[in-house]
Amino acid sequence: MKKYILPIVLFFQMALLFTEVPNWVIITSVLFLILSTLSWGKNLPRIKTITGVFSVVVVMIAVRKFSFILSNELIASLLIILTSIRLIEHRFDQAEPPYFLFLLGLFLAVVKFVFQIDFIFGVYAFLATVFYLYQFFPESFQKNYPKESFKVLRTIILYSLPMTILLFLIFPQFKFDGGRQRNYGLFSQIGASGFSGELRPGSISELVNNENIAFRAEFTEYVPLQGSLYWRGQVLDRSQGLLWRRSNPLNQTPEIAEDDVTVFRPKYKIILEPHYKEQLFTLYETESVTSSEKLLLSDKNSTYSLPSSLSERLVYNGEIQFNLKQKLNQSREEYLHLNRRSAKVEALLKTLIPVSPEVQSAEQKVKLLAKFFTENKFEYRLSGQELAVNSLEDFLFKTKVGFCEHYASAAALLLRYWGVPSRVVVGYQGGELNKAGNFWTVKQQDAHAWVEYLNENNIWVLFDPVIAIAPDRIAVGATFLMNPTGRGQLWKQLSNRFEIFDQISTFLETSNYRWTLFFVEYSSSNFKREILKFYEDNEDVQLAARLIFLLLCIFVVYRLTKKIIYRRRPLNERYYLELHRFFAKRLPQEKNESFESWKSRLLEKYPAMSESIEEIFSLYLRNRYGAQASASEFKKFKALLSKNSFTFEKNENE
Amino acid sequence: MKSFYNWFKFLSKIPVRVNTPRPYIVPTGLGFSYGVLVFVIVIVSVNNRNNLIFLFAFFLFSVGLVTMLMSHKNFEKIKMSFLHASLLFKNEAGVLTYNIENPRAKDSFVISVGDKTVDSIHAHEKRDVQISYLPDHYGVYQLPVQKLESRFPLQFLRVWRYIQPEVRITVFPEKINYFGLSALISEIETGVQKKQLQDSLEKEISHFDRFQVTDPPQHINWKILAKTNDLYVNKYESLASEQQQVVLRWKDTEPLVDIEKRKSQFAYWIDEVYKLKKSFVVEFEEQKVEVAQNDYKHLLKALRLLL
Repeated sequence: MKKYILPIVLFFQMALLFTEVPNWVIITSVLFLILSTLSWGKNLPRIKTITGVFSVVVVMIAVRKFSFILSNELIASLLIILTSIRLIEHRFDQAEPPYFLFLLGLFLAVVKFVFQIDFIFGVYAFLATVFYLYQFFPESFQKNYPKESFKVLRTIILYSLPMTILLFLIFPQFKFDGGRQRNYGLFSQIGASGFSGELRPGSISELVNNENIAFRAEFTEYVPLQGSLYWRGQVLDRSQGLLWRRSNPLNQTPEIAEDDVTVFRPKYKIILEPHYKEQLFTLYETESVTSSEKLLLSDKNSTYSLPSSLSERLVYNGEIQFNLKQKLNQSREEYLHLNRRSAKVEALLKTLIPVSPEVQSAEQKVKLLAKFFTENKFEYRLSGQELAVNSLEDFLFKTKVGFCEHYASAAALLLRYWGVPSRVVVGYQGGELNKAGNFWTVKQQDAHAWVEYLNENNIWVLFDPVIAIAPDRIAVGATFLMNPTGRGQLWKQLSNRFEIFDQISTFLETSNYRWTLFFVEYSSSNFKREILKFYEDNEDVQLAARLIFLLLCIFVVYRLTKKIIYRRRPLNERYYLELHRFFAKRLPQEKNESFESWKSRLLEKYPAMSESIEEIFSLYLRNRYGAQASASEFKKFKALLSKNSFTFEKNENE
Repeated sequence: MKSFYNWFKFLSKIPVRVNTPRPYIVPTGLGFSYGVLVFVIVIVSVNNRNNLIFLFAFFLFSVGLVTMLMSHKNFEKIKMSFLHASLLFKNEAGVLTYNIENPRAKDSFVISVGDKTVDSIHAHEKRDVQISYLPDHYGVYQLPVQKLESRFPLQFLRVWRYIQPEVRITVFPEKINYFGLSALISEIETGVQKKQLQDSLEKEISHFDRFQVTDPPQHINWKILAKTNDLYVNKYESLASEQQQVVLRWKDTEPLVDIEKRKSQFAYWIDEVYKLKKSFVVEFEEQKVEVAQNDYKHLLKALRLLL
């Protein structure tokens, strides 16, 4: 490897980890990198003492700064700084390869994978491991035998893989609630959202450019429509103008009304990314939510949560019961509370409903409200003007521009003015369907807010004012509607233009989903049970397994028979077989070709190997057609072939 | 840090068993660091409660295990035997030649013996390896312990075996020239002059062959022709050997007094004369050894007088 490639590779690896560490670490390491760049190509004296002092100081600062010794942030920070310090020491002219830097490079790749457990980073970590393992070969061996070193590396990896799987299956996976939870700041980039329990104008529009995955959902028994996918997260029922808050959730079962109990109860599975909050996301009409890993809590609003914040991926299952309605189980007054009544707004509402509001039903009022938003040229835009929390009037009469949270807050307030109990719900709407994998990917940019109102039967009904203002948002989803800037933009343009890029994206996303699902849900006992169950349930699998077993038996019997037949052959025949096997790949004897002409052809092709060829052929002729061949001579002949095997290959290369 | 280093030094001084059938295998510094890396990743996977990281940690661990097996296989069957040694003098680097054999049907790589590293020994191959050796005392003693070592494939592990063939080597006294080289050269010259004076013309003629038709005319010795009026051709080899015979006397080193110094001086003279490709006679007290210019056996006999 060229000496200057390593610092460049390491720099890129460090840059990948920059997103995970505090700014002071980035600045320090960049300073060290600049220092190391200045010394590139110059034969400066070694400054081990200085770099040693640097390392000790940095370790002390880092340990003091991050209270928890095993926290990932500490590990990443130390790794970045140590690598940049080591790079200062790196000299292009040093005789010994920088093995310690190789080790740090390997660690950098693995740590990136630890932070962002993603298919792509898995591939990156694996490739980096292969690259660095290759660097560990003795330098002379690597230089003189490049082909052999690749072969040895291949053998190491191929032998390691089954051992890895075996270890994974038999080794108990200890788990410990460690450093990740203690470093919310660091991981806020992973599960960026996690709604905070309140909604103010602008809080959802902040997430529009965030393409991080919130969760993935898979429906096994039916395909839902994009517009029907409202993933409920939190219910906010306390209003302070346009600011909505959540009342204290109680562990109380919701009261539900079942119009028509259906036998068909489709299920869906959600893999939720860690968001360091408690709430889970469920669809409407979800009857129950279960998880094999954790205890889940439900509250009076039919939302589900965890007892503690989510610091790792979680898989949970939801069961839908169509026509399941949620009934009011608190007093109506709670949902009619307004902290301030505006005369201007009341006057406006009177113009909308000339007759007494009590006469009309809640559904009619909702329709009127939707009509009001459509007819008065309200706009659905991200860059809405800044609004104060009490500025309902400004929104309704002046700006008339907003995002989903503006409309949901305003609509819920207006319904309360009219005496319709209402509340705001935050969660996600829609998602992106991966057709290859048949699952939905819901990103942070799909975050949404809408309204639930109580109808005359005391049943909560969904009302999304955005449908009236920007129906495309619900019909095609946020991903297609928005034009987010930032990473992935080029890839998106390519995907739109060329189908192949789109297919690659779909494939990667599917692979990511499948392997995430497998490993997140994996536990060795479950796995064995699942495998057995899968085998017992599927006749095709049973048939395939039997076939494979049969083929394996045939193969083993064939190999054994071949070996026995070979051993029973007379020795001189074995000479013939061995010789032809040896030259089969190199220069086989042609049909009806005399032995002498074959030999001369070989001598012509391998002039440097003439001595060996002569030796092989003379030994062959002596034993094949001469006196009784002995076992020791045959052993010698085989050894001769084996000895020359490598040199022949080398000769071919040259 | 220093105590840690001392601890390692202490480890290296632990008495080792030589010629054991099984090799020693211990991680190198790089191997230890790799082990720490795997350990940290396992801790991180426990910390992060993530199966994927566990899987990756197991992969790295498996790589370590496979490397260990490969290191062992690559080295286990390698045999080393002693072939011969160069002329060895105390405090002078000599060469020991060993033979390394790979009886396996597969190639072995990166095997080092002493200060030499062999990149590859093919299947069933035998290879000679020359190792420099600096004896610190003279006499006849057993061959030094040699370390046959390999760090193949990934340098995570060091596999080694100590080998001490049951062969004795002879190390001669240190060569030191206390009198300076001129003393030796003048000695050679006087020896030659004495010889020449003793020789008569008849004796001189016996050193020449009669001219044959097949001989090249430039080989005719014109001096002899002038003296005898007959054609003689030069008889180069025998003439040279007899003309340059040097006598090295032990008693000539008497001015040095100290026996070790005398031995060193005498060893120096013997070696120098032999290097000059001259025949010589060694007179050591009562014993006398005559060494022809290429007679290595007799040279050793002459040097052994000093032991």
